[in-house]
Amino acid sequence: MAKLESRKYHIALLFGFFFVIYLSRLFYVQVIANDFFTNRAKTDAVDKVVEFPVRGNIYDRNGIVLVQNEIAYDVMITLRDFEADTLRFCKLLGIDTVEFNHRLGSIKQNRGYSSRVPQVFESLMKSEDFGGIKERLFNYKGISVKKRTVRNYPKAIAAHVLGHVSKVGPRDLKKDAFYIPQDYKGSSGLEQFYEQVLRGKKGWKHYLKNRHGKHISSYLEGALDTFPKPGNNLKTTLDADLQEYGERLMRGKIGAIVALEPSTGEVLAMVNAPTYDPNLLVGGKYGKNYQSLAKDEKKILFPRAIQSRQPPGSIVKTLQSAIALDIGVANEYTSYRCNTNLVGCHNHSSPLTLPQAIQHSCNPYYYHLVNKIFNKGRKGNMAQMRKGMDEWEKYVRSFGFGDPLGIDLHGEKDGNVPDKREYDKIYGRNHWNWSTIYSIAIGQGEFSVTPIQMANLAASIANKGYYFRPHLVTAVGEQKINFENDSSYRNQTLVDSTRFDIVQKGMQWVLEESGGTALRSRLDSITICGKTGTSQNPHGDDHSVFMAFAPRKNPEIAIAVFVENAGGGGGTAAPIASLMIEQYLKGDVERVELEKEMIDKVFYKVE
Amino acid sequence: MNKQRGNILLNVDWVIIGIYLTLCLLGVLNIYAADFNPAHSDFFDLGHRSGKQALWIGASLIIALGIMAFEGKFFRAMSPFIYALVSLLLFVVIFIARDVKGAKAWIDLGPFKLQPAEFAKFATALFLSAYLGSITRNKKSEVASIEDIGRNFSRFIRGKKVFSLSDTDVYGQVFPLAIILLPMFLILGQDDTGSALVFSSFFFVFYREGVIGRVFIVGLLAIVLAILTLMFDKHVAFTALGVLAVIVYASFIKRTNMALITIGSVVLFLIFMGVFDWSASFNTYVLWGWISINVIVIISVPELWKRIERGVIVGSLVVALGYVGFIEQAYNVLQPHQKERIEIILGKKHDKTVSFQTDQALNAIGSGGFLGKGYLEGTHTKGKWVPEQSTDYIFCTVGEEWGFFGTSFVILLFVALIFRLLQKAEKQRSKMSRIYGYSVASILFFHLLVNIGMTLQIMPVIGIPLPFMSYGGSSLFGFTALLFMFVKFDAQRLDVL
Ligand SMILES: [Zn+2]
Repeated sequence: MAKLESRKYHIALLFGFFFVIYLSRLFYVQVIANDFFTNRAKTDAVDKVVEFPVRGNIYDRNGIVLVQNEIAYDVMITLRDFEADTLRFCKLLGIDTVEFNHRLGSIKQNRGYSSRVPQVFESLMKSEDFGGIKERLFNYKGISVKKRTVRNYPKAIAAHVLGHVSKVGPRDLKKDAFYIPQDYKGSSGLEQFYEQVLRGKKGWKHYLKNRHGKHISSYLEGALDTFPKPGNNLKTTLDADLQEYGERLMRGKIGAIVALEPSTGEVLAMVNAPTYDPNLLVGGKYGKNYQSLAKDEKKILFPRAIQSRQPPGSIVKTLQSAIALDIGVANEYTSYRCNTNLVGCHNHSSPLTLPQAIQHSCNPYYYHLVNKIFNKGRKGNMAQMRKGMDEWEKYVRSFGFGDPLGIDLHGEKDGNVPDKREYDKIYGRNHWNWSTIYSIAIGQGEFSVTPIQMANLAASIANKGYYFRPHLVTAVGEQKINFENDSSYRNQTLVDSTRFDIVQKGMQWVLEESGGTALRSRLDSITICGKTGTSQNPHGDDHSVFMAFAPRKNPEIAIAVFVENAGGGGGTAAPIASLMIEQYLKGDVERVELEKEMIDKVFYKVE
Repeated sequence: MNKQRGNILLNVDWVIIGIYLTLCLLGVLNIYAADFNPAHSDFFDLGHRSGKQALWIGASLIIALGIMAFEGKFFRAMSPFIYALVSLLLFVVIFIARDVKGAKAWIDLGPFKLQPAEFAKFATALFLSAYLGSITRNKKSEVASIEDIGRNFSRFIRGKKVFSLSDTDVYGQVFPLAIILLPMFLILGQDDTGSALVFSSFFFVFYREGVIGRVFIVGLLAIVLAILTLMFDKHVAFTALGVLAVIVYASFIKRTNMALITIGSVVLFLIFMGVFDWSASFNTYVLWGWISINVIVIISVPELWKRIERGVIVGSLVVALGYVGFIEQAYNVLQPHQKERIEIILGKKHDKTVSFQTDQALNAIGSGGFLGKGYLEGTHTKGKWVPEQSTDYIFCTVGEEWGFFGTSFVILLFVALIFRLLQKAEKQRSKMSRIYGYSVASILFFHLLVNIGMTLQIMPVIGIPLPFMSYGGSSLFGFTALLFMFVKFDAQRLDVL
């Protein structure tokens, strides 16, 4: 018995031993590892629900709304509660059963999918579509609706400039912690460039959810909740009327118009043709519409104004003149004969002075003039030629050629200013001479520029030797952008301001003196200075180019018009530029016949 | 006798009753929280579990009073009939019960669902202790005849000492084992594995009463070690062995040394097991530390040198170490699918939903912190993340809303209750009362160990309730009867039953 007696201690010890183990396990779980389990519990039980901020609006220079938001509806489906005659439900939403099943399939693949939690079935239905089916939709069990906002373009202009928003992809999610999978972000134009300020800040609500994902109450009485902060509005430099008018004039044409304010660099209009209704790239129809726009052989989505690189053609004769004057290899009265043996020309009196050469766009004149810039009279000296070319290149680049100008849009192209290295590469070192490369004198060959660079050249000449970096936005929210401290804002060219009177005189004669290449485009009440150009196109008809500014005194607008396959600059580009100037400076166009002629001029089939 | 009966209220152990009432109250409060619905927050609404539980508590008190009203002798005499009745119910249930959560354990009585298994613990404990209590031992071995059984049974009913048999025969070992195995198998037949396993807690009683000898202990130890090795790690099994060795040494030596060695060993074991997360190299250090301590203890405690058992202890320790290593090696040569089956049986591996649920249980407890999130403020509880939270997982509610403060309070209440029961049991004059006390303490201990261990992920998922606290009438009635029967015996401890 005594032996059995001691067994009571064994049992008590064993019991006590387990109790201490349990208490220490509890201490570990609840006190030491408390943070770990609190986090794990929170991940499961607390639902962070996003409140999307309203994206900033975009206005034109006069406060006209270019981009705003409108309500759209996400149709949500809670599969556990969903009861419907599938066929009728599909008909209501305009889909077939194959699509219906496909969507259900992909919904079930969603991260954190639960059959008790509403899932997006149809995203961003526009209110006009939604209104018609609203009543019938709400009759279905398990269908709910979530309000969101989508972009809306009341004037449907400047599609390329304003850009569009699209759903974020895996790369955006990885790169920027701001985004969540339901987000949209600007993916072209101003929407893209100003994404950071337009998108605003998300609000987050924290809910306690139950095992089935249903919310039971707010978490910590909303202590962690934040309100969404709307995005900033953008005030742009665009003139909606001018933009709209430009798009009307460019109907049925392929090309671009860029209009700048010379005194500021503000972009008054940037027309890309062909254009499209930006409202197409909004909401549920985005994917389909984007595909068809992207597939169009006219490259509708291509922002030609900043990306199309073409030889500038004869408009560079203004630049060549200014350089020659500045270097001192010519003066106003320097004359050359129009020797068409050197390079083709058209019928005009000969010889011509410098302004007259601009007026008539005489090719042989510039053959001589630019040759002189390059070799300074020392013919056949290759070393001098190379030196002269370097100097010329510096001059040309100082006008903003060869590099992007730095407009506030992504994807602006640089264009090309040919230099000796390039010719060495093409022909071999010293295996080229003036007769090989003379085409750069008249803006052909390897020389290429973008339409915005053409407009910028006009602005530089209008300002007599400097230009302001072209830009589209002047204020973010209430905050005006301060350009004063920005060293890249004002750009001084290498040409002295005194040289430009002669160039401007020639440009005025282009429109006003008999034999000028753009006589039809003159405007009685306003002095326009312009220069035509023909951009040689090895693949088809030449492109029509024209650049201009007006009025000559205190210029208010500098413009470049580029129309593909429209032949000489005087025929199409110049009248369009002239009409744009009239529209901008007078607010109205009196030359209705010219206007009609230009609008009716189409280069592809227009619906 | 009459005088004593009049003083029954003075003789009852108010500590036990006080702890019982506290646990019941904590239970119903936490059931209210686990089942909380802000829209219908009436505590006593009988549509709610808290309201119903309050009703069951009321009914339990009536049961307790009923038990106190009868003589202990009456229950002793009735014990075979109660046992038989409950066994019959258990048998019938298999055929008439509907399948609820995989088990066929409930008899539908209109608004109340009766779970006979909950009463089987009481009935078995009562009958087993009445039976074992009536045995007297002598060296003479007799073969039991049918006549013997009949004659002895009638003497048993009349409260006479009857069996003058040795403790190695049918009466001393086979019958007691049969008494616990019958309800155990019947409950297994209901697919209620958890409740069936509870009956293994009677082995503590058998050990105390010498029904089972050392051979049995060795066998049990072998099983436990194998499970520990496969469930956790061989190091855990080694450590458990070390603790056991210390307990064995302790039983040979003076009380003061015993206490010191025990405390030291427990502290070391805790460092290893609970408080820190283990890494393999750390385990190895602890293991070697253990072996060294064992060696040092054996060498440094002179009492051990005088004993021949020393050799036996050291030898069995070495054998056990080898055995654990062997189990691990043997397991490693198994096919992957065989391993997986073993892991599922051990509760180490679950299908995804089960491990999600047990993770949620641990999240609820762990996120409670030291002081808890506050009553009715448990986010996991409110979100109904833990399944069965008012029944098997009621401890999660305590953990989340009351924190470590609450959980340790509940555990200490149970510790106090169980040790009070052990202490009181040892004070009983009657052998039957002592055995019964041990039965109650062992059953409560087993429930506590498995139920709380399950929520803490140190036990496999076995669904048995937390005594007095889990929602459910049958379980509360069963435990109340179990406990108050002892309170009654204890109040009459001067009587020889
Ligand atoms: Zn000519």
